Amino acid sequence: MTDKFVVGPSPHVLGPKTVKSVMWEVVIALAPVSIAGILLFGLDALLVLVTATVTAMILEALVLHRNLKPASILGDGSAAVSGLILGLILPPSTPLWMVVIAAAVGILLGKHAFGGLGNNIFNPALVARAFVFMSWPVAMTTWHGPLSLSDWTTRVSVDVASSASPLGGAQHGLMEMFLGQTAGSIGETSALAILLGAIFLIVRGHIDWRAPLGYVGSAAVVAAIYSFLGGDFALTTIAWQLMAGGLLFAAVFMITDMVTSPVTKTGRLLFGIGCGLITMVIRLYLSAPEGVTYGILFMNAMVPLIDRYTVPKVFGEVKSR
Amino acid sequence: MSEYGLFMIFFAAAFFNNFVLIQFLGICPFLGVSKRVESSLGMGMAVLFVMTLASLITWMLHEFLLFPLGLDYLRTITFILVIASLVQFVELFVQKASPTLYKALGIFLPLITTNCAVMGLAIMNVTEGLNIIQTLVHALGAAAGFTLVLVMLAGLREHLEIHDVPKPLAGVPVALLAAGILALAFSGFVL
Amino acid sequence: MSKSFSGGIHPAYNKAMTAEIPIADMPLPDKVRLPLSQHIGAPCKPLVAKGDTVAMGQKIADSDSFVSAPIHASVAGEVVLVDDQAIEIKTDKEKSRFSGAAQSYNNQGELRQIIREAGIVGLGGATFPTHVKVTPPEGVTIHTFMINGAECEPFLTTDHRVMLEQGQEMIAGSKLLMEACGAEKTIIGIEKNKPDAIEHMSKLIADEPAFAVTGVQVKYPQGWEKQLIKSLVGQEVPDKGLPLDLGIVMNNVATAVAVHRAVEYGEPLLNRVVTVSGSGINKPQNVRAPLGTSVADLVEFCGGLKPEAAKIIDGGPMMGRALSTLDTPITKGTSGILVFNRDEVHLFSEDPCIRCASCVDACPSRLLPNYLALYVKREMLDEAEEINLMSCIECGCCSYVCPSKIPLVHYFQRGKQEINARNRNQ
Repeated sequence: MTDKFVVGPSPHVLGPKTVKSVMWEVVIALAPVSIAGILLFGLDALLVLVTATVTAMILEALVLHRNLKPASILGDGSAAVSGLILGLILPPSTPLWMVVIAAAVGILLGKHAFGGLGNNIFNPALVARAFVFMSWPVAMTTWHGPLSLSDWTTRVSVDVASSASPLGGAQHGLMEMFLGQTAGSIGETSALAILLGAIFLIVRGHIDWRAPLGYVGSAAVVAAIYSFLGGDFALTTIAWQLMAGGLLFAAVFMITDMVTSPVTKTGRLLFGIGCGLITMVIRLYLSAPEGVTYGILFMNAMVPLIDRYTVPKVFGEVKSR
Repeated sequence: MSEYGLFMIFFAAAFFNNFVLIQFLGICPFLGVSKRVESSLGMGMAVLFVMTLASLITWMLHEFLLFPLGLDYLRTITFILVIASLVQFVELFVQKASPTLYKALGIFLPLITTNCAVMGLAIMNVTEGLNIIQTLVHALGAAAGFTLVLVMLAGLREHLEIHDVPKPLAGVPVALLAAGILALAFSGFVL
Repeated sequence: MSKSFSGGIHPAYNKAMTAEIPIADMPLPDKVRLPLSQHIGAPCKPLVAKGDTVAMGQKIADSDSFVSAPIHASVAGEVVLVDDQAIEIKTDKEKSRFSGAAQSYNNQGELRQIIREAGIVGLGGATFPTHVKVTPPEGVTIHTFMINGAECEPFLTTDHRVMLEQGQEMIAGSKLLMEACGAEKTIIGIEKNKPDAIEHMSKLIADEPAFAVTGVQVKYPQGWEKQLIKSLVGQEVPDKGLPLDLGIVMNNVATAVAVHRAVEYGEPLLNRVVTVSGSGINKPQNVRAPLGTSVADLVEFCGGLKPEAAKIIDGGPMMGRALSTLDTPITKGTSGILVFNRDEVHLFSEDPCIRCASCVDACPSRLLPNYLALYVKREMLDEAEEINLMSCIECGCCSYVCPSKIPLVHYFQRGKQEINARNRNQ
């Protein structure tokens, strides 16, 4: 019988979740969206996604571990998540060298300059996208419509076959928008695929309903007010607004990014509402085509203040203070 | 700008043409005072006071004295005199009303005199041909935008202080990076 | 919808290992070691010296302080060691039989004194002297007495078995405690994973109009006093206050049995039921052991350790204390001895916090554990106190859910110690 026992602090049983399990499950949740994007936009999309994800993982391995061993590249899964999300919010015809730069900016500036996992303030994928959007605005707003099977393997050049996205004026029916048969960024078009991912994340307990509901809710309210004031109020208009652009994708995968959103329950709701308001104001009243990126980056910067001012009342807190 | 409605002038000054993040004016207090949220709020209030009064007074000076007499070339020096006196006044007031704030702001309180945001605002009111109501709203918007961004950066810096920023970047460098990304975020507000 | 509180976790309960087995009485050990501090409050001072012969049930240590409880010899025998930590007695197995007489009392004060003299403290693990608990301060009236039958920690089934096997004694003890504190009614709260206990208790109180049994949601830490009160009556005990502030007194199942035995037989606290469980012990079961028995003797009675045994825990897995040696005595607060195998033991390895807020969602006290840990690590004690570090009950829910495996409770314990030390020095 041994007399050498392990001694440590309580609790002595720990839950099953680990950082790796959380991150890789988010990657699994992104699978439907990625597959939908590849099916709709062809080889282009596949190359963009792979480039973004692999670049992000390699750069993180170099920064954190200074080597390129497979274990380092896989890391804790967070670089894979950031890279994949970045790829999904880029247009499918983005030149690959631009994708590499975007991934570098996102991982190095947006994440590691601030201290790595858990320390960054801004969503790395959005930092990358905003940077690339400002530097090469034309490439970022050039879309091409979903490909037919015969075109699937051709690499579509940027000048040929561009078409407008729904926010750029293209007319689409609601079912088309739901399934994703419109132009747009790789992951943003198919509401169906996004919802599948959302269900997986909710079942696994990785996202809280407050931020997404606040986001979609406030966006819907602003859209309703706008269309009401404009005289053509209809539920379909609101649904259209919600499915256009990157709003749904952001609601499920970017608003819920744990590191860059508030920690308190009320805070998460406020965060979602704030993002929704800014997104819709930019979309409807200002000339930028898409407000999601800027709305979320703006609210990311408000997170420390939100956390500070929404500290919950402790159990049994006496009001007499 | 003079053809915009009042709401638009306010909104433009606070967001699309944010004095700090879009026009890059007033960076000095932006980085100097944003270490703590409390002092940032105080600074914002001081700047609001100075900007509003300075705008009104310099506008009137220009409208009733300089312009009619063709003395536009004296604009810069007369404006700075007005601003400096107002700042002196604010300094005395803050010293009396809140010694802790006075100490927290330190040198940055008198430095509002040389704050290019205040001067820039005063000159802009005149060059854009705004009337007095528009000037007032413009000043309020500018101060609101300045305070908002200052407080946001303060929140970010307090956050960065308690997190593991890499040593070479800790302190001002990472604050500049955060400010830069914040500017990127504001670049989405285009009219 | 079961009654409950916000936050909390649902760990695997592992109670089936011992829940169905009747309590076994272990034979007298050769020696007992009785620490002088087995309760919250002032430690006792010894009343005997080395070489003295003591009878079973004899008072061997006491204190003048109000918040304290005396210690009795759990076996008869010769005192072989007395120091400022404990008293050790070498057992005389022939003479170790307790004999006592029923106690009578004329009023509340005398009843409380009987409880005190019997050395009874909270047997749920908090070990707060019971007579102090049932003595409300001037001007406070108690209207409800509650019995804590939740037993939310995984593995532990001692309260469950006591309710099933000594239910009648528990009811009798509850009536005495009700009388002692002046309450008019009693609510027995039991977690719904113990349907047999709920049914048994309901039958026993069928003719008792002042008693009620309420089933509560199975969640950890349902058995923490404040959380159980919230679940039973929907009120929150004030943050720095006590259930007294709501007119409530709550006691553990075994405490009530002890009070009954003190009055009925004059028997002081001499033994307690301990759940010996876990994958590393050969015969998991509930054991009634004399206080002061060493864990080694207890483990031997339960078939000994399995070869892969690697961690011994005094208490439950969430809030218990890991032992470095089996040569540790059972005390009044020892509700369980758990043995974990090597592959169940988690060694320290901390990843960065990813702000997932699982800890915030799990905290029953509604704190922000991620920020608290950050502040404690950076010695920012004022900020930590500002967001209520001192209200942490160290239940371990946050550490359990953390995907980065940050030892949050450990940081909070350190932070609280430093804040207390700092406040003491001022």
